[in-house]
Amino acid sequence: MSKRENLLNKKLKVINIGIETFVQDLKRQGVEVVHVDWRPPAGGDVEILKLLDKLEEGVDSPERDCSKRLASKQ
Amino acid sequence: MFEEASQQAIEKIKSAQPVLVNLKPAGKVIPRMNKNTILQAGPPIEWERMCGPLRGAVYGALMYEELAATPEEAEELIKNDEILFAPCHEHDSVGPMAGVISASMPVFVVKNKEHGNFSHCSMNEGLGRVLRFGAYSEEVIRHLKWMEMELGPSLELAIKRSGGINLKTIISQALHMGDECHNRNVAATCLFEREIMPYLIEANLETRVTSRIAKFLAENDHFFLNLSMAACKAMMDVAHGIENCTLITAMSRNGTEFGIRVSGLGDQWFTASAPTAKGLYFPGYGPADANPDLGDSSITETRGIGGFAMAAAPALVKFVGGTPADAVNYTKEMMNITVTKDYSFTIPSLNFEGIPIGIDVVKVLNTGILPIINTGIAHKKPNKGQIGAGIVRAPMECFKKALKALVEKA
Repeated sequence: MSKRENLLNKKLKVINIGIETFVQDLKRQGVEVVHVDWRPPAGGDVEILKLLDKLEEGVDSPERDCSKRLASKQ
Repeated sequence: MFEEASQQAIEKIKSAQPVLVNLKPAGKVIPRMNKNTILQAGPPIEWERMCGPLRGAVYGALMYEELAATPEEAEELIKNDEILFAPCHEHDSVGPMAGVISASMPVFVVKNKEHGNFSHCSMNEGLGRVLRFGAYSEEVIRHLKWMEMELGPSLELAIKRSGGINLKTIISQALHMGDECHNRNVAATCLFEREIMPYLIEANLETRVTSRIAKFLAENDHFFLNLSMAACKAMMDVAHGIENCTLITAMSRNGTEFGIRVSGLGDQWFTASAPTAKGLYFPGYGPADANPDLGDSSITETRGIGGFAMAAAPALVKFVGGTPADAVNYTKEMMNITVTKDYSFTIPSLNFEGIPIGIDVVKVLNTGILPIINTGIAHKKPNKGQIGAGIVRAPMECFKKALKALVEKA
């Protein structure tokens, strides 16, 4: 059995990141779910993400790592 | 580099001691203020772009100063460049809503005893049809004259006799009594009255004068707002002008634009269109009547009270909308965009957690969480007054512009 099939055959425990309406849908189906309130840094504005990286060079922060990853995907 | 600058700013803000020391006509105490100066809330703005309530308050102020007899005469003066407009913030001052201050208006003088700087704010006129919401009828002007001729000089005597009233202590206590000291000032006003009243009685004024003043204070739950604003201004100004500091030292609105100032970026304003508050309206009014947000009163949120301390004031949701749970969530949410907590001001319902202070431009942009402000809503037309109260968020665009300036400067 693949890992994916194995996952769907077990009781699901979900961590939802971002859009909160998914949480309500899952709750209605009796799925155990935890919501993480997260928004893309700078609303996903690539120019601002690059500026943030420039300003924060040398400063370690999880947000900065995330914004770098987002900027590199654009 | 940025962290050290933030720490320096935070230490200054926390150690500030705002004390009410005087009450004088604006022309005598506010720097660079003369008979033709009109101070206004928010970032700089020229007459052509001013919103209805700000224009109404300017008409009222010029008629109150007897520089004009009618709004038409006031416009004539303005068009002949005889009136100099400037933001209160650039004159060590703050004003609620339209924030209009003219030379004869009595203003509170607050001294930060720790660092020696001063701030000023007009006196609160009460609610409804008042100058700060753009009303300028005869009744409004008559009330302002009473404040100038009787209330101001009497309270000045009492303040002087008191030797100074510590506003930080009052705000701290009021947060334990259900206020957040922006849109709810019931407890803080009572505490202030408790402090001032013995000195007002000692001033030995005519009984009917003392009685009128006592009645006015007792009927105005918002009287302390202007003192709260002046206290916050005195506390925040000491954090302004620190090299490499990315913290916000002022958020303010003129009804057309929302502006922020950043400690490390000098006196530059970073602006965007002013948003309109979502909230509760007085009977007969709705969102279509509302002017975009205005006032310097968001200096309270900049200091970490007001909307940032809404968890302390669950009853306020009956005035601005939402539920007590929302109020708690606003305070918790603001902890994501501030650099620390200030235990000089604690919130009982959060197990005496300190208020969130030090709004960081970088944190706002990284998280996408915008500062929350609770606010009064003015009618968009002049001479109408207040029509409701609600909640508003600072616009993202201001923070983006500030970030660009920070990167250019770094």
